[in-house]
Amino acid sequence: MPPRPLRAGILLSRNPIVTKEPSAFVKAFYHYQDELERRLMWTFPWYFYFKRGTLSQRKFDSLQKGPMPRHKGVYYPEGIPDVKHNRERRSKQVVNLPSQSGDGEGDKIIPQSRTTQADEKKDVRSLERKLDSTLYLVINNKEWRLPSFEVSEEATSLHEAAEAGLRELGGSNINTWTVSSTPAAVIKGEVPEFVIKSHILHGQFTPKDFDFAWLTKEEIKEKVKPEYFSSVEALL
Amino acid sequence: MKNSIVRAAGLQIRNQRIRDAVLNGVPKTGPPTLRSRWARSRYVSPEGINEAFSLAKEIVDKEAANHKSAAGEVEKELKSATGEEQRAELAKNLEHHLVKSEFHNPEVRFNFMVKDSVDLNEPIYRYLSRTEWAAKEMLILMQRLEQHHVIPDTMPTLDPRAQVDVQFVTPTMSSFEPGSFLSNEVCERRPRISIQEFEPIAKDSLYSVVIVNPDVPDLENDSFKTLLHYAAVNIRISNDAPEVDFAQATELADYLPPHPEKNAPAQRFCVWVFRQPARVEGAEISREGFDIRQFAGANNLEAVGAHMWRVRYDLTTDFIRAKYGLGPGSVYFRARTAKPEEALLHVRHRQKWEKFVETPSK
Amino acid sequence: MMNWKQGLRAFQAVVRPHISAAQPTLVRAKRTTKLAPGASRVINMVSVISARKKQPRRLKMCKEDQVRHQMIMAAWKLHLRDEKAERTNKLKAQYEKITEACDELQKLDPALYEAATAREKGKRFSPEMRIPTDTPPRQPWQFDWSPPDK
Repeated sequence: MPPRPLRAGILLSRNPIVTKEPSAFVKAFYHYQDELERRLMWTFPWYFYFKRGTLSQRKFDSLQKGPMPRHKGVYYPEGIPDVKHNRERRSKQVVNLPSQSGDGEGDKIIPQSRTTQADEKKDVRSLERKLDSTLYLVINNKEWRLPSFEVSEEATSLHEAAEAGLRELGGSNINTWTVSSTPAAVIKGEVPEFVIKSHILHGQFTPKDFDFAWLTKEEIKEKVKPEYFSSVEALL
Repeated sequence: MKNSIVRAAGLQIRNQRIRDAVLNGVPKTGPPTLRSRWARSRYVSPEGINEAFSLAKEIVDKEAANHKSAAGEVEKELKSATGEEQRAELAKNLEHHLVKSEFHNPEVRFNFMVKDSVDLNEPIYRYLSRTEWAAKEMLILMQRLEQHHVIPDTMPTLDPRAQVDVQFVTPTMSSFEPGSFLSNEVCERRPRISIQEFEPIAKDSLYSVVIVNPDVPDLENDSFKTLLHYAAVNIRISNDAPEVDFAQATELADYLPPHPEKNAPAQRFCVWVFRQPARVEGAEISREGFDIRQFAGANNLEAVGAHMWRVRYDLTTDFIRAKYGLGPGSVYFRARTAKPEEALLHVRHRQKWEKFVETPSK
Repeated sequence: MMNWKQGLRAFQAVVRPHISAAQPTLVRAKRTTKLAPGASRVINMVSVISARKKQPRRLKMCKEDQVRHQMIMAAWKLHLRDEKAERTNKLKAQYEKITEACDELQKLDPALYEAATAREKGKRFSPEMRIPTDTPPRQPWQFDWSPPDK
């Protein structure tokens, strides 16, 4: 069967796994808003959480740094204390919670690192790199570009041809979700290439005789030819 | 690259210590705007405001620089433009970019907040002043003009563009809301008027002021007629000089104090401010039966602002009438009759008046 | 729902059952009678949700800080506006790319065009898709995946 006069390309992306790193301004703004909110919070009703006269209440009490009390005839350079319910009403209330283990620091949760081994090794073939940005699959077939496949005369739709081509190229142990059967763009050339958008969900791409890489938009810009990049830039 | 944007010196905060506090954060000695040392020493800034401010300033300065460069381009275009409409459009665009380039400038906001060194030649201050005026005073003015039927009894309508402020010479020299009742003694002499333009106007642009009273009883027609109380043309106004200098203006009619009649309805005194396209020379007017629409039409005047107050017969009216030789006036019955002339108590009132003029109080 | 008067009566009935709701009396002296069972818990609950004694002082900024606060909020608005404009422009460009591709495909291969623009009824997002979180899971990616047997 002769192939049709067009090719089906695939833009396979790995969506971000962690949220984007906020900019310095966003961080500072959130911190400022958080501080304003804490300043305006009601006093913590400890008696709701710790029953009076119990050991846990005593433990909680011992961790609290009480406010400066108000006495008559004393000069307070930073303003007369305004204490109610053991809280200084002019500033935010700091509540120290007791920990289960009893070291007084509270139970700290140590989260997984946002950078992985693949980031340290600069392994562009790993799907575990750059967790906070979208990665796109590019292959080196004479030149670096998005994978694309011939569409045979029997093929009934572009997206099926693209998915079948992807599995033929990189093995069938790959779970993808194709966004739509409509092509997202056409890359014009001798043979026009219709790009189908798809997301990789599980598995990995393991081709036999090609070099490939999972790259971000900025990295693709450095790797591919400028005219090719300008034709796919809007998609990334 | 740091966004360093060149600003006019007039837009800066004059007090250097306050300026430092606004731009670099409140110092350890406390905010300089607080008067007492006690208040300064116990003031605490919200946490995190300094870091957020310095980063926010970069964003705001970038935005300002964009508008500044856009304004520069529009200015170049304006120089080469010829068509009248095109020039007006470009001038409007230029004003917009100039306002936006200073819109978030904290120094400008501070100056405007404390009303210090507010230079109305700067587009941003004009914009802020106009916004403040349009949010309250303009609405009150329009409501009063319509409620008291100044529109359309005197002029057909008003597109308010200038803030008109009227002050009578009293110990407090305070302004009053449009439509207020004033005592006859208060409005005895010509008020001080200020005309604040918010659109960019040429220096010493020409304006006219007319004060009319459309509520003089007209017994012959069983109606009311209009009396002109004051008219001046060729008043010079600039954006930064809103006070009317009557000495330099051409007075067509000098100020006639309000002198309402007893038991007649309250009289409206309508102040109309017009923009003049050119100098007005040799305009002829008559006080009695003054037609303000005809006057504005004949001299090509464009109404941009208005003000009003009301008066009733009160304890001071007879003093004013005696002082300025305005005659005894009339007294009306409260009852309605078929013939309005009969409502006059001619004889009794004239007797009282003569007695009053002969023996005035000290 | 009870109104506040009925609520107060119910509350008093729990706290002081010996005082009838019709003749409430103020007890100024130290409480001598024991609280009814459950009453202290009710008092606790009510005081947790009441603002009395728990509200902080009003936040009063000096003029300098008011101006600084205004500028921070203005910059935040500009930031949101820029972000939104960027997103809108990107979506617009992508939409134009889709239109261009569809027009081209219609000229080249009408049959594939029909298949590509047919309505995909009942299409859903895959439930295996993951929403980004602040920190990654222990195993960020599942590499050994094989298609399920049919």
